[in-house]
Amino acid sequence: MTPLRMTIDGRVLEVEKGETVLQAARRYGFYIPTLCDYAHLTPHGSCRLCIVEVEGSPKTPTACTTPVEEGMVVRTHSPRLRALRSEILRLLLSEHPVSCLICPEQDHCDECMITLRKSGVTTGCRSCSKDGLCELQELVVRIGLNGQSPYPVYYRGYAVEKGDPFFDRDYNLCILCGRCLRVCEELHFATTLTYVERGNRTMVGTAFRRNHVEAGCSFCGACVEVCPTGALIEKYSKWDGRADSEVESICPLCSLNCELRLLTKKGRVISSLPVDLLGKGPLCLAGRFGIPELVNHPQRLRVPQVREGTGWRQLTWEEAAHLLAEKLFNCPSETFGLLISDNSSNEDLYIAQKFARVVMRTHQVSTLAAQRYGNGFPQVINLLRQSVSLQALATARAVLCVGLDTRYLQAVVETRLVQALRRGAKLVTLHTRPHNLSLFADEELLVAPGQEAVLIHELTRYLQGKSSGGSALTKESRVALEQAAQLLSASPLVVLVGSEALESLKNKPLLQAIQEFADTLHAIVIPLPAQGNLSGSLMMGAFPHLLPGGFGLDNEDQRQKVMGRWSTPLPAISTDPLFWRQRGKIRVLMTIGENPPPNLTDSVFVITQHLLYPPADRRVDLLLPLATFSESNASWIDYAGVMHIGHAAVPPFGEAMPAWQMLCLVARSMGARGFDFANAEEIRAEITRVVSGFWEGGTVDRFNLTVGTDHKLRQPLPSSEFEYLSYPLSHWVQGWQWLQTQR
Amino acid sequence: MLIAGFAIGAQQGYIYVRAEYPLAVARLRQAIEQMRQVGLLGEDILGSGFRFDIEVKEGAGAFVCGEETALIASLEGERGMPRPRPPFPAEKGYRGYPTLINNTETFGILPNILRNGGQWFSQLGSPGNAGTKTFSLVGKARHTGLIEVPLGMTLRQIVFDIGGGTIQPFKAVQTGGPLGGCLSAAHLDTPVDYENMRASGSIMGSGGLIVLDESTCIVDLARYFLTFSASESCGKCTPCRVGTRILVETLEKIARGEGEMGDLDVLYTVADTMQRTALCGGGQTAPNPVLTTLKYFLNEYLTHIQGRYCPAAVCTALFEYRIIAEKCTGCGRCVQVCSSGAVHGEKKEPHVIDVNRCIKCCACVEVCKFDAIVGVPISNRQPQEVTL
Repeated sequence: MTPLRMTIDGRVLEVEKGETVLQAARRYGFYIPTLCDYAHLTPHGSCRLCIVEVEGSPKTPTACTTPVEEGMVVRTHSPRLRALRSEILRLLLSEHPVSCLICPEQDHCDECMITLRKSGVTTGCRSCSKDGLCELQELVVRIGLNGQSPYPVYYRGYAVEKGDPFFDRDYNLCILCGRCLRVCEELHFATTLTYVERGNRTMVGTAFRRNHVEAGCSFCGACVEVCPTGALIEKYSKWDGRADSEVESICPLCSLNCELRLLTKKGRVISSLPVDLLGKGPLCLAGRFGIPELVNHPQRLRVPQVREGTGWRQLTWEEAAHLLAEKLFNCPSETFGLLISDNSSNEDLYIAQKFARVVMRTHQVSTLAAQRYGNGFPQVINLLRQSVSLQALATARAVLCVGLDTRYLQAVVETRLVQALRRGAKLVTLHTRPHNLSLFADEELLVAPGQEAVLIHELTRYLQGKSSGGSALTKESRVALEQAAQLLSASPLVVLVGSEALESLKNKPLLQAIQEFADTLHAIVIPLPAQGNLSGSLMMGAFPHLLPGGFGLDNEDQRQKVMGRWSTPLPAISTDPLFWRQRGKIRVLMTIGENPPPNLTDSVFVITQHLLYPPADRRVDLLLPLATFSESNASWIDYAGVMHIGHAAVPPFGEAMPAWQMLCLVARSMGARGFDFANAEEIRAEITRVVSGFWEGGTVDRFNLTVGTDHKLRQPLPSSEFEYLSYPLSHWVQGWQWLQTQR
Repeated sequence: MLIAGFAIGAQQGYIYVRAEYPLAVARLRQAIEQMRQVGLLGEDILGSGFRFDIEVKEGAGAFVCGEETALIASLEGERGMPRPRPPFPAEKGYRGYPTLINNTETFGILPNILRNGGQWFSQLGSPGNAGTKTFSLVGKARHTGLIEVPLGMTLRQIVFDIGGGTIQPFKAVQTGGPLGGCLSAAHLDTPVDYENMRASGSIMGSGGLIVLDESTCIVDLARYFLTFSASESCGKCTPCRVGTRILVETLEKIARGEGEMGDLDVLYTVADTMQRTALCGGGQTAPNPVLTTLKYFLNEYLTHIQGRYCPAAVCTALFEYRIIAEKCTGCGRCVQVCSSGAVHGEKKEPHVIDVNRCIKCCACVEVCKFDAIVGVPISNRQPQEVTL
């Protein structure tokens, strides 16, 4: 890249060909006011504030759209530019509710007008939800407009749009910077937002004035994040003002484990944002809008409590630990069972299986994944062994999506697909129902549920040049299949397997077919499970057949390593992977993040650590409050085997504590050794010794992950949506519940 | 277009035409079909190996789609809004391809130039402005219609020699369409070519020449064109979207009789801001009607604002109709057509208009054969003090 030389405000600078004047100026620290510019979104050139003077030209072009040239001489500030920018700002303000900016009493307004903020109509800054956070306001102060505006204010008179979930739209505040529609176009196939009407009635809106659900919105919240004014604002934190802190954390709601920033105010999480919207991508509606509702659920448990009659008696943690220790001392190993949610952190999972093995001397610890995935579980594990990051889409020439709907949940997958297709990759989607990729795929293969494996086998045959297996494919299907095969014969080829395929009723043959397809065609397969830490649960060994590191119980080297670490021999008893379903076997059942199974006999003593009280049909004897991911330092292993660490954003709610802390407390009460962890870092230090690759950002070594044998399990639980701590997501997030009714 | 396509190596041409011209659309399609039939469009044209085809794309009612990047956006199926340049269409245009984009008039000249030679072409017109231009001569001229004249012909020649002058005294010529300027009698000897039009504050534009006489109110004219520009503004950039609205509101305020001297400052400032900072040529030239009328007809604005009077009797709040007794024969025609019963008088006696009932529909003015009805300042209002 031959550097060019240009002059900005008298300084000679080296700039790169292809840069804009604005980019170069910012790099060197010059200030040029902007409103429609945003990070590396395509420049729009609509606000006209970034105008600069270029020597040799009478014009004042916008810096954001002007490429640098050799020898260019630019001035970013001058009396003429100041006058023009002030004028443009005055024009902007003439269609924005500005009463506060020109009100003579603005200096002592808040003495008497505190609750004016929440009025229904925004007439000025004080009644606007974005007061103090608004970029227009900031610019007015910075450019230094004096109070008076010579232009009469034009009130658009739109009603505030509150009918869609998660965020409100008040287009009376819109300054038509166009950031929202540009970011929507950048990240999604179907752009929800566009310009509507013309002249001074021009506004941002949806095509045909549909609501956002009809217009295909994903509710990813990217538009809300980029909006400079209060026009787009999220409902939950609308009136909270500036956050007190921003903490980096990890989303626990699915295996993507997106990085996010938790915003807190007065000790509560009020919002979450992606860490790098245009780089790493957006969050999905669950991670973007669902988290505050989840962690601030009004019925969260605060204190340990024991069942007494029809009610609960509060306990201190010592009392609870003492009670538990007593119960567990008198509990024979084979009658103890521990169920832990696969939305739990690595630390929780590791200590859980260590507790079961070292303290209770049993391997009867498990998540409900085996039950969920049914006899396809070994195939799921196998896919997770080979999985790589979605970065593979960056170089893919063809993509096959199986059972994947990217509209709402896991929205960042759609962004990666959009980017891949824009680079020329071809997309084939295979599903049992029409879905959001149907319109944008180069070929859509629709099959009846249960027939997916057949079609994939046919595809494999086709691509190998073999004749058809003689299955009953209709003429249309055959044509579609041929087209699809054509598209998929490019390389590199990536297969994305969505949770609907992973959890389908006939997942075993389907996933086997996919494996065969991938092996034959040298394709990369990326499974996208719905559980927040499925990979973590496997790698931490939180299963009866697995050791930490993912090795099978029979792997002698790993057994030695682990026993050395723990200074105890491992229990020798092998066990049934579904130990909690055998009637009469378990006498003490501990569940963490899961509700106990229904219909347990009275002879079972149930301890549950959770966020909420159990539902009426589940009996719990000892109830312990659980701290959420936002209240603890916790790590996760994502779908690609990468380890991520999330930080605590707020103190634990009430007396809640993370599961690992509870288990360590109980273990110490029982006199067990090896549970003196003061914090999550110490646990991770131990995990690193037995799980190779376990450090922040590192990819854990899944080579030895044992898939386990195929058991005669009953059919998996049909799932129509993602779950968190044994409740469907719609139980936690109201907006999501409402969206389900709109399907 | 075929010639141009061959010259630059293009294989596809598009003609963007207003859907409101169904006759033009039909004829275009017919012409294209005829070309296809004789082998002048399609594969291997005339055995040359060159292939070219033309598609007609009808617009959807947006004036701004005349701007080249907005036109390309519309062709791509997007909303017609201008895009930042650079890159220019010749580098990156329709769907990212290098695109040659011109008015059909420009392409239309090519065959003649090729046939008769460049020398022939540069002899037409004036030095630096070779060739001819088509104009649409309309308004109050005796003879109106489409004309083609060599560039450099003066306004006087066009308006008076070709157009036959005006019946009522000549006032101004609006050139270039809604984005053009209003030139006064002082400009009648200006040659009509690109530079001279621009120098006088107007533009050549689409070749519109609207001839205006004393019955046109210049403030109303500016208001009319700005109303058009305001509604056609694509809305993308702040100066045009908001500026056109403020210009219209201010002009309407003046026309309503509520004008103040500060309004002139508003007009100048907003117009200047738009000229300097608007994103596309549309926004930059939209204030031209205001700027040229302020420059060449400032007195009429002052009469509206300070004199509270519209000399052309157009702004209804700023005049009333009076019958000149000396000219009135009492024929009674005006009484017959008056829609509000405001005219009274005895037969063969001079009639009188009751200004309280008169709604200024001007039916009487049109029907009076004796020019006895004139617009005069409203009687109970005093002219404002002059404060500059």
